[in-house]
Amino acid sequence: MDCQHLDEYYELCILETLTGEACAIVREHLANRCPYCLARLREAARAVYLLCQPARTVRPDPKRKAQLLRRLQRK
Amino acid sequence: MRQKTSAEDLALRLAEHDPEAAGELYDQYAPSLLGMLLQTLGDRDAAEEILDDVFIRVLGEARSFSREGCSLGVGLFMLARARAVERLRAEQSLPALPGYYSTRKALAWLPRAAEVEQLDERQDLLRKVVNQLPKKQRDMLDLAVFKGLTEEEIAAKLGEPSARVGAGMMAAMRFLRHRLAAVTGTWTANI
Ligand SMILES: [Zn+2]
Repeated sequence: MDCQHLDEYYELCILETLTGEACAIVREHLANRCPYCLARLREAARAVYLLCQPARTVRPDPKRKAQLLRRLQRK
Repeated sequence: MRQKTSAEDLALRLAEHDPEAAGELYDQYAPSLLGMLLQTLGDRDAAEEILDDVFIRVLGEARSFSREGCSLGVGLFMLARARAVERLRAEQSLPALPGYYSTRKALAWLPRAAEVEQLDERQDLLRKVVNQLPKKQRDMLDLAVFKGLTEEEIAAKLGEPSARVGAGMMAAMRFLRHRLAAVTGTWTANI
């Protein structure tokens, strides 16, 4: 499948910033496991991950960590 | 056989229910995830609640992440952002987005753990790359990433035509894609 015309859209589709036809096509190709779109989305996800990094990190309360780990152990 | 990277090894230990592995994953990602959630929601209780849920959900899929070689870090960020945006949009009475991210389906396209480990090692350099974007483009991307706004909503907020916002964000992504490929190329050369 020739999907190169979608190259500009993958990151903005993951972010759901674009709501138009291009992202509907990407979604459809994803459902059909289009190899080109899957490979491009994998690259796009790295850029999105980079953009999601916050301006500053915030250390969670250590008590919350302990609680969460206990919850996980019970599962 | 290629030796496992520490990210791949951690995913394997999580899949095998190593009791210390969950704590290690938490220490590695919780501070940046909580930072992102707070930047999005501005409410610490809500951010911490999502943080816990996201860890529980992703760790529940640890075996699949390990089998597919997918990055747990990216999985955590994608899910945390999706949950935060969903909540923020509901609070602001904005229509719900269809939801691109679902943990299970995304395993087909999440980046490899080893690739993301290298990204994490170069965070400082990559942050400088993002900061090289023109301010207007960075503002647009921040509204998209941290406020979950669509192209039209960003345009309305900034008082710009929608087409200009779309073009600006695409130009920003083109720049980032190019720079990211250059950094990835460096890794290949190093290897
Ligand atoms: Zn395709």
